[in-house]
Amino acid sequence: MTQPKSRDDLIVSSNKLYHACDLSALAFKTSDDLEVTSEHLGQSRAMEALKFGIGMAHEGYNLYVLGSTGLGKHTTVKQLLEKESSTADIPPDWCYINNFDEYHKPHCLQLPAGRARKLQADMEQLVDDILVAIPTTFESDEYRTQIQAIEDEFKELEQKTFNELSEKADKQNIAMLRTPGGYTLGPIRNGEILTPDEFEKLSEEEQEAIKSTINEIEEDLKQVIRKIPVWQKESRERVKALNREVSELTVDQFVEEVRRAYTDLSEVTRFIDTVKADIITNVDAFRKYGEQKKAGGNNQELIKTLFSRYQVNVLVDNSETEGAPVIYEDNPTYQNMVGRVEHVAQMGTLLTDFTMIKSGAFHRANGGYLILDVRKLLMSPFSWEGLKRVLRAGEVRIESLEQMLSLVSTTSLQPDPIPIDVKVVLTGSRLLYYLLKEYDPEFGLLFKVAADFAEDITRDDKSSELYARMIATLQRENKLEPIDKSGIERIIEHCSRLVDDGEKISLHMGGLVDLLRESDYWAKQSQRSTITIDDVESAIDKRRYRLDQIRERVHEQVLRGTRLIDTEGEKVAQVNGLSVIQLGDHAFGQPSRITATARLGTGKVIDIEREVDLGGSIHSKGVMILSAYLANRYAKSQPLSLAASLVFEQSYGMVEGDSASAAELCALLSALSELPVKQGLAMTGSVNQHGEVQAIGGVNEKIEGFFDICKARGLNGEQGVIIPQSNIKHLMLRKDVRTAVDQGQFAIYAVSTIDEIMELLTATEAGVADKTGNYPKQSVNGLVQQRMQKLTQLHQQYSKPEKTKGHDKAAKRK
Amino acid sequence: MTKLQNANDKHEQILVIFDTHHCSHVSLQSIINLASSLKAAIHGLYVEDANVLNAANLPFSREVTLQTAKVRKTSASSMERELRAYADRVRDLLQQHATTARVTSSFSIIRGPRLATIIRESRDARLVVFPAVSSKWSSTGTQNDYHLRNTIALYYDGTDSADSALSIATSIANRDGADLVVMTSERAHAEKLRQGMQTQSLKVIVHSLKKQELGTLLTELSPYSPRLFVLPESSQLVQNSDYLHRLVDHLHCDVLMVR
Repeated sequence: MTQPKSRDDLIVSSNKLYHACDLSALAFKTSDDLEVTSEHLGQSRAMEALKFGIGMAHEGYNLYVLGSTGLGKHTTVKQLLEKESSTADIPPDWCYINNFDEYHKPHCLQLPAGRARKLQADMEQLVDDILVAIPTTFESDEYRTQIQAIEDEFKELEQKTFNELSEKADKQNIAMLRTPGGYTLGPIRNGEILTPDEFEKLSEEEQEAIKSTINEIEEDLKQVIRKIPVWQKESRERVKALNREVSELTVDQFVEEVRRAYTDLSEVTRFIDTVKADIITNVDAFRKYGEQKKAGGNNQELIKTLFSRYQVNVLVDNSETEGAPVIYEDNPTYQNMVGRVEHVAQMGTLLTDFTMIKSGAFHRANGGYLILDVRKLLMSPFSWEGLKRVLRAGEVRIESLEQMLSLVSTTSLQPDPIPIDVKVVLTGSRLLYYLLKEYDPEFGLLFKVAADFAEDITRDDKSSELYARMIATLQRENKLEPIDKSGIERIIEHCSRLVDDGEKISLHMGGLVDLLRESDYWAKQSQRSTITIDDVESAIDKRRYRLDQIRERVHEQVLRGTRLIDTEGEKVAQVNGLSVIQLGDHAFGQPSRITATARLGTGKVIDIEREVDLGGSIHSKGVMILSAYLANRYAKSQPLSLAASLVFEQSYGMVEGDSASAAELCALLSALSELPVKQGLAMTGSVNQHGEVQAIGGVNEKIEGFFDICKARGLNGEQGVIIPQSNIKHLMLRKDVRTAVDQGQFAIYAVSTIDEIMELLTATEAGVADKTGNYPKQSVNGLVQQRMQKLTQLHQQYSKPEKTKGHDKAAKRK
Repeated sequence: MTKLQNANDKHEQILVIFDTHHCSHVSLQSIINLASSLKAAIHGLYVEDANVLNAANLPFSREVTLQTAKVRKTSASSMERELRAYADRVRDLLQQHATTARVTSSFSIIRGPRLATIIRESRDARLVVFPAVSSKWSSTGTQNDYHLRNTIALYYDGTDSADSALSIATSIANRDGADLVVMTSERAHAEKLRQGMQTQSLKVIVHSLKKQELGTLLTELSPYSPRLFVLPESSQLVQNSDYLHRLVDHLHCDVLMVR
């Protein structure tokens, strides 16, 4: 271990406390003078991945755009896709039409872009025309004359047959009499039917002759009656044939007109031919419509019921699409993705047909791009599985969830699947990307391109200039007041603070736009037409104020003495550690009292937090490292006869992270050396087994947290915060902290080793070991070493007499 | 229309003759509509054919059914039940239609030789309707093309009852938007009718008969397929005793006889 630096050497100079942005080299006054940029700053890796994914036409090259919320992933992807798709071919239209053979299996129909709506209109017009034409034709004199002729022919045949039979009966003095159920025959004398008495008076031969004649005529009558159904059927057939002929003639003229417009589309002409055949078969429905209309009935319902099967259900209409479609489905439920079959309730029954098939996002995006938020997708039941099925199969099949899960057994529609050619772009977090990659084996096969959006960019003159132009672009896009140079500089500095790094700038566009809008608001409140640094400061301060209540309460507890934190004086084995509390997008630092005790033991350092399950694994790791450090440094050739315990006082929640491990070690060293620690100093940093202090996160919040407490109690010039040397580059401290440092009221110390910290805390030389490994007696390390040796001796003393005593007693008994 | 109104006022009852020939619903509805438009009451008269009952009294009496073309044995009592049941059905049907159309109706049954009884019972009525008979063989009594028919036919011979019949036929045709076919044998009547009917908004066809004879009338009327044939009773055509048989049994439309 090298000689520690002096106290003055460790003080961080004020120019390092804040990485100010200087755009003085750029010749502009306000953002209006800056050139707008379309460049996606800092996202070259992601942009290259996106372009690659879009360009790859092979199966499975769908994209996952990963990065945290607010990076502008969605906007960037949409802009890029819209640019790429504008020159692509317009995909075809898709419709569903009736399947006249199996009604529950509607057919899909593909048409060139823009022709589906026309076909739909043409079919509606066709039905309208035929609805007028058919009733007119069937009410015409010509048709009625032909029907009359057929019926007359049947009547004449009937009449003739009856007359012949009647005449035959008459000639044999038999009357054919009509009864409600048929005919009865009776003998006639002088135009009257014989009474039973008169019949009895006839001779037996005459009676038999009459019976025989009646039998004969009855037989003839039966024969004739048997022919009636045949005649009727023949008559019906002829009427049917006539109806068909008339219908064909009527329908043909209208159908042909429509058909001519689609001769280049064989599937459409086939559909039109099928419609024509169906209309002719069901011509009675059109006649019924005519009758109902004549009777003043409500025809709308009838039309809907009877003629909807000739409609065209346009699922995808690309008539106004330019290039390939880019669809963003904001609510990616299963049905919104793959489409649905709707139903209408009629008399307590749910009814549906092909006209109630509704498109999903896949249909609309067919031939183009579909953008989905992966979190929303995963949160919608069955959507993820549905998405994968479509991508695997290359077709979208509309199937209700009930059918898919076999929850219902009722018949529903099974529309033809529609082939799909769509590139899916998922946007989401890194966590979800890696989870999907880990747990869903199909994910990697279907989403082969990852576009990883950077969270920040290295801050230098070039990137600062580009960032300034990006701010100008956003300002104009959002129609905000122009921002002056000082305002832009402050915005860039704030964006560095957001990533807790003076040498980086945040690429979270969402947060940046919010800051611009809020600055614009405060400028307007101040009646300014240009956003200045004051407005940006107001926006930052007001936002912090809005979220700052919890911090105020925590600090209030310290200031009122509820939470015990000393900011002056000296105490043995008591160190001010620093921690950060993250509440949503607001973070603040707070001091925590860390205490240690040391006594004779067997080398165990107890982390009380861990013992009660309030310490996280990283925190426990930090404590174990400091145990190893102690043993390595002070008890290399002797047993570590120490029992120590460490605790975060007044901590009632989980403690995680190793940023307090250096503070814990210092508390323990103070306990061992019995050197008092200056309470005006707080510290943060993790430590390794060799006593080197390592970087931690949230350094700015931690310093400001302790500063606020000290400031509230009154700065005395002895107060300050010790941070790791490697955190200097992250410093972006508030102005009041910087001012206090400049005025010598507060200090920031950057250290590399535990020895440097101990010297600062105890104002005692740390001490360097001589050749024999011994430290100077009055140094920090010397005192610790002596205490350790003392503990070891005590341990040995306590061990020996115990064994001797026991042995002597045993000897005496013998 | 003064003449028509007078004619309407005069005819307060329409006699509708029913017998064992089936009367269709459509035909019955048409008759009820006629009564409604003439603001007349309806009296249904069902004629039980005595000859049928006599025939059923004979020891070997049988009936050939139209439904099945089978022969079944009958007796006087079974035939009487059959006729009464049929009469009840006709009465119910008439009442049902009349109630719906708010037309006053009554019904009676009379027994006797069919034609003689019909002639006797219809002698004193001003308006007599013989409902359309469908097929002689069909037991259903339906008329497939009935709904297509929209023509009212009339025989006009210049008599007072013919004028009255013309007035009624014109009124019905106007109400239903039907065509009117006027059959006449006299050229003078034809000219008079053509001139007289020019003011009417309906379509009127004046047809000159080749011969003043019932057979010719029936033959030449057939192509028009009328829904209703209006016939003045005074006409020479119907003075022959055979007329009723031919009218009732051979015409396939309702016949309205006007006195």
